Amino acid sequence: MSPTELAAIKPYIDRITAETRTEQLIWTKINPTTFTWKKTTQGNLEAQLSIQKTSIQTVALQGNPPRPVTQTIDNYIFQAIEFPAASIRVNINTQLDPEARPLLKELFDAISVGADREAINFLKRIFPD
Amino acid sequence: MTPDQPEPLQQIEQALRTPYWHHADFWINAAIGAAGAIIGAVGLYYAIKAFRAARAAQRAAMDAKTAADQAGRFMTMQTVAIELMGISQRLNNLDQKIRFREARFLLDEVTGKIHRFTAPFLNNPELAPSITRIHETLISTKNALSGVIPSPGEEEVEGQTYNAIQGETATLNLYVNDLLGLLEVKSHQQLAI
Repeated sequence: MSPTELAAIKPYIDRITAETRTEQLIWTKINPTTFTWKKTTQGNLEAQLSIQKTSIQTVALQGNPPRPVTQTIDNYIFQAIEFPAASIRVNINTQLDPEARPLLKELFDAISVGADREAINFLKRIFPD
Repeated sequence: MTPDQPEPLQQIEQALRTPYWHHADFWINAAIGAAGAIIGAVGLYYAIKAFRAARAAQRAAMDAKTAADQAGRFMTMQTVAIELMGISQRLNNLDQKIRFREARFLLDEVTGKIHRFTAPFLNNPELAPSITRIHETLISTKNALSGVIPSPGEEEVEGQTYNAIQGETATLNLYVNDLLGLLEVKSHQQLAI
């Protein structure tokens, strides 16, 4: 992704992050590391956003004699899918576009906080004071 | 001998004056002794010969055992190298659309095979570090896959499983190939012996 493309997408990611924080966007946790948000129009699925956090190992030779040393980096994959064609319209992978990492980390953290808050609210509902 | 001696004494004196080698008893005993010495010497000769033959046989047996062990190790290395090549190809061709269930089967299969094939070399000081790295990466791949266990009733997003494990499988493939290279070198060393 070129810097121009990233600059064009950034306002949308920022808006998604802001609306997530204000609970206008409610994300669904489909597995421990992936969240989705679906936009439906008149009951039909129109679009889906997903964000996934992964850990990537990198191997580098260090020392004398050289020995392989692994480092783990958090990586984020953001996708926007258009339905019904299920075609991927936006795909940002911070392994390929490391400059997008802070942006997607912020979004993922906001979603995680929201998910945690929802879990606590659920517990509050079933165990009222 | 004096004529006034009694006859038995005369006979004793006579016997004492006669040289001992004039007695048949001496020669009989000497013959028996000589025969015993010859038999003993022959026995000792054959005992030494038998001991040397046994020692040579023992050495030959040990050489044969060493050769058999080396051949066995060589064959094991060759077999393991072929199997590791197969694993490497499977990891290399990880499908981008792989689903969680398929990935779990793949990882279970690869983990089982790698543990089985590397077990004979765990105590090998040259191979052990490489094997340890493979085992550690298998664990981190398993952890990465655990990160995409589908929540009940939720659909998988295409590519999520691939995204979760592709980094680990690439590292795993790299370490498998490291081990493959080490096994090839050791196989060539075995051939050169």
